[in-house]
Amino acid sequence: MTTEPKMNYEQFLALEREKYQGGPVTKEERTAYERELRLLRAFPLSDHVAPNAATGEEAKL
Amino acid sequence: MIAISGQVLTIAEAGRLIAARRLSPVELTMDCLRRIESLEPRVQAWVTVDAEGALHAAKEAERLQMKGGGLSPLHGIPFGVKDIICTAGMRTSGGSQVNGDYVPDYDAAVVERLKRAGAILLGKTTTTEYAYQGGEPPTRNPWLLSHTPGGSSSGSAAAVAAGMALFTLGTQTFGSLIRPAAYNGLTCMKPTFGRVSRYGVFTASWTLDHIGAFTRTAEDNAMVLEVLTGADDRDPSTLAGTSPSFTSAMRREVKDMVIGLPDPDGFFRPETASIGQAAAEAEGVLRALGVRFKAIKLPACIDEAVAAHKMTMRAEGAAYHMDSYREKPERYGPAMREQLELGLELSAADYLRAQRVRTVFRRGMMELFGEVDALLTPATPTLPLEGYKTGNPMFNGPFTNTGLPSMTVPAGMDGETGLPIGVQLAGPHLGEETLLALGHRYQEATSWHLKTAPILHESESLHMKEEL
Repeated sequence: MTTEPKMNYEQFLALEREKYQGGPVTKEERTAYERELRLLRAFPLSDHVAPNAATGEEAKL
Repeated sequence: MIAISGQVLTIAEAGRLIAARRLSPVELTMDCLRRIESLEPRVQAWVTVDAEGALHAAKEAERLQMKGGGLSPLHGIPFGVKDIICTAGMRTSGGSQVNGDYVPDYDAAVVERLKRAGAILLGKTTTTEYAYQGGEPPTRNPWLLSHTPGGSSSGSAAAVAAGMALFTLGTQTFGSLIRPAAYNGLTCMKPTFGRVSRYGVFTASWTLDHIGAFTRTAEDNAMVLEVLTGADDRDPSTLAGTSPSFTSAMRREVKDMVIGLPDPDGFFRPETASIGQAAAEAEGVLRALGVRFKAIKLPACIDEAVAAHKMTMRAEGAAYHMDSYREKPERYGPAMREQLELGLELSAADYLRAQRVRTVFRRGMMELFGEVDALLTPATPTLPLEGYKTGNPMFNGPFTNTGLPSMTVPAGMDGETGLPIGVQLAGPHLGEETLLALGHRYQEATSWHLKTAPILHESESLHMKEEL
């Protein structure tokens, strides 16, 4: 099967650029970013949990 | 196209023929170059092809072979690399206008190792911009040209599926090895974090980047992995000590191994029925091989882990590109700019919080492997999409985030579209051998990995070689 996509590549690129006409960060991505930030800030972490510690007691809640 | 009994040559098969002097590296390289010339206008997998350089290297490989033997099992085997991996004297674009016509004067560690092993570099394959989502290349899926091959390792996956190279290298920062491999009917391992040196590879994220190979079989993947892995002072994240013999995993039995199955209606629930069906059938094949299964629960913080993963990518990407982005922001594509802007906004405190969440998640995932030898999941939530967006990497994220090894093998085809479907196996820290053994035994019992994209057969007859 050798069908072409409904939209050609140049059309795709133009549509992508159009998404950012309002600024470098879209509303959708800003919303996602803020939701993710809230999730992380709300997650309870023990004082003993260090960044990127793979094993050991310090990784437990 | 060089084939045995109608099947495209694997690395193992080609290697045996080359070692027996029944196939010349020059003949094999020319076969790949002919296929590139024939199919590239439709597949668009390559940024740069160095035919002259490849044939020169192939002639040298032939000379060495005739003189006394090959350098390794990869001797004379043609390959491509993703265009974020530096190659001496060959343009490395990063899929971006930022780099312009940058030509490195050195090879990345992985290219050094492959050249030392006698493999033949054909050229550079397409990538999304700096291996992020966004800045998608025009590359097509050889199974169905109206559809994406996935990404960010778009060209690497498409090139092997189209028979243009016997293997290629790609990278994964979220799902950019496993997803395109599954979309193209290929076998691919994302090794344990630190197995493979990232020296000479443009960084997407220091704590998330992994390198792997697209191949047709688990055996081939093991052969490439053996060459790629090892400590490297130039990449401080590489693991100390010697790597195991991954090819010896082909002799391991899998009977009585225990595979964990996450809730099929939970995080790993596919959106497409045929994907769930293929995963269930793969489970059946493995059961028949004597593998046992056990229901497992993923760590409760998986949503927070995904958030931490995305924040890490944004922040580390922004840190890597900080100087260049401040100097010439307009050279970056809009999707990449969006991530860099958000990464620059993220505070150090929030970045470190994300790393602490990753610690908790990693601990929870590593504890799972105290109960089971591996996990089995669908490789992707959907089939490759029509158009140019590269698809959803969510199913691959947990193993990238934690640095644990994961692998995809072909496990079916969608009846309606003919598109391939892959399953994903994930293992404990340093557990590549377990995954390779499972993948190899699965491939001995099935034939999904032998299927080839229709485009290979459309316009040329097969050049048949006699059986070994």
